[in-house]
Amino acid sequence: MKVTKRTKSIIKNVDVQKEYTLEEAVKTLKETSKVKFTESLDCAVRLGVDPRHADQMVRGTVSLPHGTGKKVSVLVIAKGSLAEEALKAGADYAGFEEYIEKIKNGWTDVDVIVATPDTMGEVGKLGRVLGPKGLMPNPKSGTVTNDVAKAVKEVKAGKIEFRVDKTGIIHASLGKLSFSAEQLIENTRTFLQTIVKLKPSSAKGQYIKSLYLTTTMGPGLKITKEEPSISLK
Amino acid sequence: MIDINNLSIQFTGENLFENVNLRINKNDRIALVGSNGSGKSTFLKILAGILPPETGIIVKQKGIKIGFLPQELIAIKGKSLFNEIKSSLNIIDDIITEEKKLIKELENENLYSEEKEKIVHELGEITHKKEKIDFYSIDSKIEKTLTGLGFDEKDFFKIIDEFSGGWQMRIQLAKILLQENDLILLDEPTNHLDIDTLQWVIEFLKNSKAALIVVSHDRYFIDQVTNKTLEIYNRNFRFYNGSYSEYLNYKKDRDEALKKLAKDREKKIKQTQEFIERFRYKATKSKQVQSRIKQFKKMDEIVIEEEEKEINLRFPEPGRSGAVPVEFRNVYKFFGENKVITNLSFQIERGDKIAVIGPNGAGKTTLSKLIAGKLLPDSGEITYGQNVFTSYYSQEVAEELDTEQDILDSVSEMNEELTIGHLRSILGSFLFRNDDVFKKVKVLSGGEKSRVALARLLLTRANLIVMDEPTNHLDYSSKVILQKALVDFAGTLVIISHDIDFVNPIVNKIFELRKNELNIYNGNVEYYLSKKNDDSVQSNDGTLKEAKKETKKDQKRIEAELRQKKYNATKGIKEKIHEVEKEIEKLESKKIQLEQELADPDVFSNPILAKEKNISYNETKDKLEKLINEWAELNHELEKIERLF
Repeated sequence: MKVTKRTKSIIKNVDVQKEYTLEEAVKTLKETSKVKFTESLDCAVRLGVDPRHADQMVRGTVSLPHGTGKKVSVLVIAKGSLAEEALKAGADYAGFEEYIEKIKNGWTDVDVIVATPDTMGEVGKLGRVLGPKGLMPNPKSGTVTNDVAKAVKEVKAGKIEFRVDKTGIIHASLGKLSFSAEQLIENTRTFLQTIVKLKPSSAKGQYIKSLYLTTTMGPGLKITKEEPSISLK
Repeated sequence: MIDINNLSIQFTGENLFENVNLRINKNDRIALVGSNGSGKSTFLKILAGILPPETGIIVKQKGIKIGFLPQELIAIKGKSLFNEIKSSLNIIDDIITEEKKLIKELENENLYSEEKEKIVHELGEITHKKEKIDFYSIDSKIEKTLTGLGFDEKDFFKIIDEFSGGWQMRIQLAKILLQENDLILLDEPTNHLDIDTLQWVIEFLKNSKAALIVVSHDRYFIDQVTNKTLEIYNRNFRFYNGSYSEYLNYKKDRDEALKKLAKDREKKIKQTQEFIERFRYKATKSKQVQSRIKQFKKMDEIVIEEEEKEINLRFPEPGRSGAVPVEFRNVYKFFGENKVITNLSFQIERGDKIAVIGPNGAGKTTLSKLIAGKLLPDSGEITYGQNVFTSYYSQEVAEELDTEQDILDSVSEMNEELTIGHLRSILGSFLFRNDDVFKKVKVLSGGEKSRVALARLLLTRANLIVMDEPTNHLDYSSKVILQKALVDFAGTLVIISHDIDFVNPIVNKIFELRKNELNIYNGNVEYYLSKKNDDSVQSNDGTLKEAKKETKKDQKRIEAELRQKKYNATKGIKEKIHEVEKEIEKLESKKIQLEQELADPDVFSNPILAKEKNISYNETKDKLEKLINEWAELNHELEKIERLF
């Protein structure tokens, strides 16, 4: 495989064997970014859990203090005044029958769907369309609620959902490289705190096994094992 | 993952295994080996929870999922293939029903908001469950697995009853492969698989994360998928870290060592006994004798595994049947809308040994059943010749046997004229000795049932034998013996088998069933494979006379070709043998001459000359020996080549 000039410069400036502190890592990633768009900061955490056991499932949501830097389009499925409330709060779309019909026909042009409990009877039937795209509203991620305004605001402000995959790894996007280093560090710390708090009681051994930070096209940097406990403080 | 403590099981008063302690770990890939009837299938059934352990406990890790492929098929009926597979993943059905129930409840307008909230939460749980099992990609996964196992896309919605034995087994296998089990138990999974599918299954198992326990006679398969060998030996289990082939080497060495040990022990016992007898009543030696007696009692017994027994099989001389035992005229057979046999016309001649081959589901079993008279045609005519007695050996032998009978009854009903003694001697040649003959058929292992069915077949004295996959449950050595018996069989034989090595030496005609057409090849399987693309295939057009004429002409041509081939193949070696023979003759006369010279007083009184002659005599002797060895080897090779034709 051809090694590009960009990769060569990355290889020169980065030591993949080294364990970086969060600050060092963010700094290095910012410095080595040489692409023509704004890269995202991505994080991968390997956990010592067996996700095949239901009681060791790690999943949840976290509101990043500085958002993800991405524009999130939100659909709120609610009746009457609640729909209006949602639109006021900044939802891109809101309504009931109109959208149910649209989704039935295959329209899913949104990033998040929020629904009120009384519409779930109808929304639940849309599993075939929403399920594969991960758009099904769920009270566990706060997307089934009567307080639609709050839900919309949170999602817009950078609330992300995460869960451990089959291999025991959590992936999340934690902001854009255009953010300041402090903002990125703060986002990452908040994310780590949430994960540590969600440790299942049945998980045995070391909980956070390894932790990597990377950017869309950048190198993956290993972060020191102390970082999660620093985040907790 | 699984802990087994003090497990014992007994059948007909004899322990299969006793006080077994072992542990199966997460990443174990185990080949379970042991002789026929040593309890391999029983052990798998116990692990799968189908049989309860007689004593002892089995501790399984919480929530562990075990998939079991039994040796004998469980017949399932009524559903389409795709739905059957899908509903076997029972978690899916549960999720769908639960979700429907909750949504229906939500539609009730009179619910309190707390109740509603609770239901919405439960729905949320279901969404999580779905994500966890990859609910929405399950259909594509099923498709991938079915295609991998050789199913055609148009088969997906066929009703399951329509699939033949080979495919039924693949359906079971598909379910197990899809269930994402933590432990997969496979009992003779390769019995019905063709080579492509076998390769696919091997790849699948290699990539699977589940622990694996396999029982199989297919050495290639076992070596590919396992890295540990668990041996049932002497009513106990032993682990051997290494592949099956490595284990076989180890076993050979161990058996030899054990034999030696047993021999030494016997010698020592004899010595001790002699000593005791001799000095028992001698006061001065009494102390020593007592100590020897103690020693004698303490000696451990060494159990040597009996040599793997082989069945001994020879078909009795059958009565002579008419010249054409079976004739088909425009025969049709349907199953529902499925045309399995259309417009078949052919004759089977006395002494024909026919292999029926074709892809799975082409109608091989149906054809064999029609020939054996187990099925009647929907239209057309099947006529049997004079004095034709048919006997049928089915693919699922186990189904045919009355499981409540004991072996002796099961066999004696086939031929009531024979005395018990005679029957027992026949059963003995099938390795059912002593009290074994009183075992109920239901407690027998798959291999043992096959042996009973073979014994029954032998007793019918049929002159037209129809066999459907007879090698399925037989181990390698039994297979070889059956093969030999069938080669020697003097009657007419129709045989279905996927095992090319097995049928090739037996048959002299091939019936190929493909897309509702029958092609007849006059030769063995090798000939068929080489001729497959040739145009000189006799297609089955219903004109019997022409076909027959063609057959005779073809037969002659083939025989001539074979002769030529044989001549070409053996020419070189025959020449070499001739040369060696000449050389041997020369040396032998030289040797005789030297012997005479050595006996001459002139020579043996002259030491220098005698020495010279002696050296030359020894050289000649050595050379002669070498040449004779060479000659023997060449002849052996020649025989080998000739046997191929």
